[in-house]
Amino acid sequence: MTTNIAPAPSGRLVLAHVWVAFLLFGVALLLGVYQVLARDGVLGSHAASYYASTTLHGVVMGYALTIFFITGIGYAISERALGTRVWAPGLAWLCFWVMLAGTVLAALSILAGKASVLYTFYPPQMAHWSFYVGAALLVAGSIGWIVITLVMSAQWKGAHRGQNLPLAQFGMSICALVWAWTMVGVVLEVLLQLIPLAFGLTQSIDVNLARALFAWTLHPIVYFWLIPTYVFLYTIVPEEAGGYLFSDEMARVAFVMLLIFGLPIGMHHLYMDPPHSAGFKLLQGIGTFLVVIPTMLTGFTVWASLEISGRLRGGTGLFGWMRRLKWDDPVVLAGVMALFMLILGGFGGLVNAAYAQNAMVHNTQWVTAHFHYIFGGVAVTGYFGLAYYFWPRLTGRALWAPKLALAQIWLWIIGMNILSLPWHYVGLLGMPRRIAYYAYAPEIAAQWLPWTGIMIIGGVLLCLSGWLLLLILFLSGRTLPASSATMAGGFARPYEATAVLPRSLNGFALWNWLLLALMAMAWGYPIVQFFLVKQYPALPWGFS
Amino acid sequence: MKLLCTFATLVVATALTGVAHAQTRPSQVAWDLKTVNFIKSGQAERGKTLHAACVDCHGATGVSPSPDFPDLAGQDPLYTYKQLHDYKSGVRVNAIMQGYVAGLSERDMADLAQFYARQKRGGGNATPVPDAAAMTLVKLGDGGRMLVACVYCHGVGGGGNPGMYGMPALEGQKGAYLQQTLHAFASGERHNDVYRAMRDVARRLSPTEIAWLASYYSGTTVAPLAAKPASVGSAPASAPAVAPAPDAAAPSASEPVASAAGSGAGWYTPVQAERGGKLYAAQCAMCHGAALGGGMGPALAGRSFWTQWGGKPFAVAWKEVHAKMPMQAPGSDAAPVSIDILAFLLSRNGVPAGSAELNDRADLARALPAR
Amino acid sequence: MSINVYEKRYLITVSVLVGLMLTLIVGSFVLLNIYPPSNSGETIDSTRLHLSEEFAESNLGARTNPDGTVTVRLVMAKYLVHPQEFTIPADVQVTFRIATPDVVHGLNVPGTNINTMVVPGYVSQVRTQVVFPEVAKHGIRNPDGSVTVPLFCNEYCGYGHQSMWARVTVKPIR
Repeated sequence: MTTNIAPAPSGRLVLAHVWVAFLLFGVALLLGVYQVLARDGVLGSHAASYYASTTLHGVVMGYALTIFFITGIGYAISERALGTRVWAPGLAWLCFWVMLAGTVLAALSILAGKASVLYTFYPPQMAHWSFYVGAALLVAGSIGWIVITLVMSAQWKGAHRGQNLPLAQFGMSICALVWAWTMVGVVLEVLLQLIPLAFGLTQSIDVNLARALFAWTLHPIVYFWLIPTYVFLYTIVPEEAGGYLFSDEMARVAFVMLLIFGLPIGMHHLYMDPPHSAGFKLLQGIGTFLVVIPTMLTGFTVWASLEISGRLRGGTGLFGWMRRLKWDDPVVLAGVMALFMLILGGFGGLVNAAYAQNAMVHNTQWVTAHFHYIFGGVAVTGYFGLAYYFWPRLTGRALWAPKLALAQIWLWIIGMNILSLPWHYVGLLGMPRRIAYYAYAPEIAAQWLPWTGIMIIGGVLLCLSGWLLLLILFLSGRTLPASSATMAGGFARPYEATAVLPRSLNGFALWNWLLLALMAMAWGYPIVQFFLVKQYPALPWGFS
Repeated sequence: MKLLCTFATLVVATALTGVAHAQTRPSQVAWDLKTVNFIKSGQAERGKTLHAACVDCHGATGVSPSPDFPDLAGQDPLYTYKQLHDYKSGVRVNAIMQGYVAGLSERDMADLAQFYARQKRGGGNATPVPDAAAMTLVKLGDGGRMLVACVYCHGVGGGGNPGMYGMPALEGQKGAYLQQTLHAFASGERHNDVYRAMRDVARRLSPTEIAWLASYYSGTTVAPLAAKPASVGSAPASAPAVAPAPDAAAPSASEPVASAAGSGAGWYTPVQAERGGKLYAAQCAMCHGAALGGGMGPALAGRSFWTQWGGKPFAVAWKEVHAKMPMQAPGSDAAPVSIDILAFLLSRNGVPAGSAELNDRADLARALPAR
Repeated sequence: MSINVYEKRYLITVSVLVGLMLTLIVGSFVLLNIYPPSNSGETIDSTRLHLSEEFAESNLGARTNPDGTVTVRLVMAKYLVHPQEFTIPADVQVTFRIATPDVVHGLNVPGTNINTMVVPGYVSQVRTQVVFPEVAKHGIRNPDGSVTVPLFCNEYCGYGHQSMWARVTVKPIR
């Protein structure tokens, strides 16, 4: 569906969110470089600063960058897809300030060395209360975006009875639902367990209940991070590449499957925890394998869409069409690279999902390597693409130095591979994760050394790439006005015209009910057991 | 009273027969919610009254007048409570203290602990010792010996760790007392640390390092003590003879304390020792000192040598040197090289020379002489 | 709803592949007794751990059971593993039982599948066999033919986490 509209009415709202996201991103990249140097002993060994850095890096990358970027760009996508203004911009702005206040509070707490509990904040190690309150505000603020997105969908459907909700909005609505369901676990943990303990209102904590609640959140959050990139790949990249979306229906099927299979599978983060029975671990393990299917579907549909554009531009041969893709368009390049990284990184995910293989890699650097590869290589690359696509449409100005944007993306992908591939390997060699340096077992640590040295190069390249992005976006607000050709152009059209969709692929009620049943099945007993069986709560401990 | 006498006799008797018996009985203090809250509710005012009996040894404000008696002022109250409790239950052995705590109830102990916690700490600040190796030990520990850095439990500068339960502050504590304590942990004489936490740390330290740590935390200079010799019933440097559980898969007992065979006969040839000396100078001297006095690595002559390897099968020393050294590339030396270096070390420690070369087969089971 | 024929084939292929993987996993669960370490019934009061019977200091380490299997009892506490050194045989069933008196730790021996979380409130249990050639790749050989491998804490437990480890000596059964 093509829409031609002027610079987005909510440009300032979106830009505020995205700038906060990317500035924090820039800081977190510097921390990442510090960490990769410190772990190798290059900067001397300081556990206190390393763990504070890891906490800030993780909280920013996993929570702040993502929440700010996704909500901001979500507003832009919704407006553009539906052709309407953001609903209740006052609410959106209020939530922006709440999120920002929470982020600043938590960041100050971490920088003061009072919250080195990492981004998974596993109790009974306890941080200062300001950390938890800050995190709670950041998450609470994002509820506004959920509401706004779903209201905009409902309003559009009410005004366009019998029509298909535009795919991009369908995808972002699923994203909002995923986030709504996902956050329940960590919100319960933070509000009912961590904050009372941090304030001294309670004196002990059921650690295993907290871990189960957090695990509820810990897997589906990656779909919250990834779905905007998938929306980008389905609805923006094919159009920018000069082609068509291969299948609108299957894209919707993939989104729906991500919602219902992505939520009830967090227990693979608890595979090694004693309190949960092997049966439930197997059940959620099966679910984890099922969520492979929509990811594979996405791979197919996006690949096919790119192939259409390649062939339309004169490409021939089984793979030769790839040469005809619009490699000189940063938006397309970001899309192609994100897809490429998704294919490679997905295999690591299969290892983690299979618990017998997971036993070899659990809590080693393999895990860290895997999620940097997927998050940085797929999700964040997609964020770059979204930023380059929307910048002219938000600012009314052309992108500054598109060639430099290409270089920025290549630098990112190359850096991510140089960082991550040796990282996977040292994980297989047994290197534990979350260590400030390795002074132990000289007999084994010597094996890790050449690889961790190579990783430093990757880390530095990534940091350069991230700062280059900041430079490009900053200067893009100051250069020539965007051409009308850039401002026009809308979302990708499907290759075959979409008939009227079944209600199940145009609405969410059925899936919410199904998800409720699946969550009850997967998480019902595993969480309730902590209230049925006598538990011995733990005392709070510091992290130093 | 009779019960108390019997109890006291038992305790003293146990102390005299060595640590083997008491080692099986751990500290009765556990950091559960009840205990932690109980100690928190201790009343310092009441503690002040009780403290009158302690003034002679521990000072009017908990700062002791004697270097052998520890300061109590400003100490973590959980730690103070635990020590009083352990004295009373006999898990921590000291004839003097046993007498003083005999009449204390747990409420009294909590009150005393709170009183001392509120007193101003005496002593100076932790002062870095000139030897760089000492500060490395404090701040980074020693990976090869599985030694965690002191700061992670005792806080930066030894100020204590409120994030843990019952971790003593060390800063400004009496140097001689700190040294005695570490030696007591090393030999197992003091064993009220839960799960051998301090015993496993102290037994891997050389007397020189213990003196460094005592100097650092007290802010004074403490000279190294003679180490307690490895004796039956104490914990030697590797698998302890009083190990809680026999190693499941060791058909031969791991490292018997002493064996009669070979303690007097020659161990190496002078030529071999000379070869070893050259190898030592090239490979080991930069860390262990040209005169084996230590440096970045521990000393290899004198008390350091004898505490670690005296009286034990040669296999222990062989394992340490051949498999774990040099530090930056463990196990990289060929066996003849390691053997020659060991011959040199033996020669420098007064182990007798003979007509046969030291070898890494027949000599493994021979026990080195004890000192 | 129409699905493109290629996409249909792809979907079927992917589903079959996933189905095969799941069959392997469920099959190994049912037939070969391969499942993740789990010990859901066994709670323990971590705050009084050293006063418990099983995890008392004198009961830790490796013991051979009457049936020839070996049980290793460990305590992981900030920032030491207790005991710091122990010996187990290869190719014999070994059961690790681990508890902690304080925070969450993890336990991993490279070259084996001994990898589990140690959480306050529960006893962790891993039952496995150590394969000698595998550990030999990750450890050092001792003069008597055994191999010593490190055992790491692999879950962040505080500032001392990177120093927390033990040495496991594995003796081959000849």
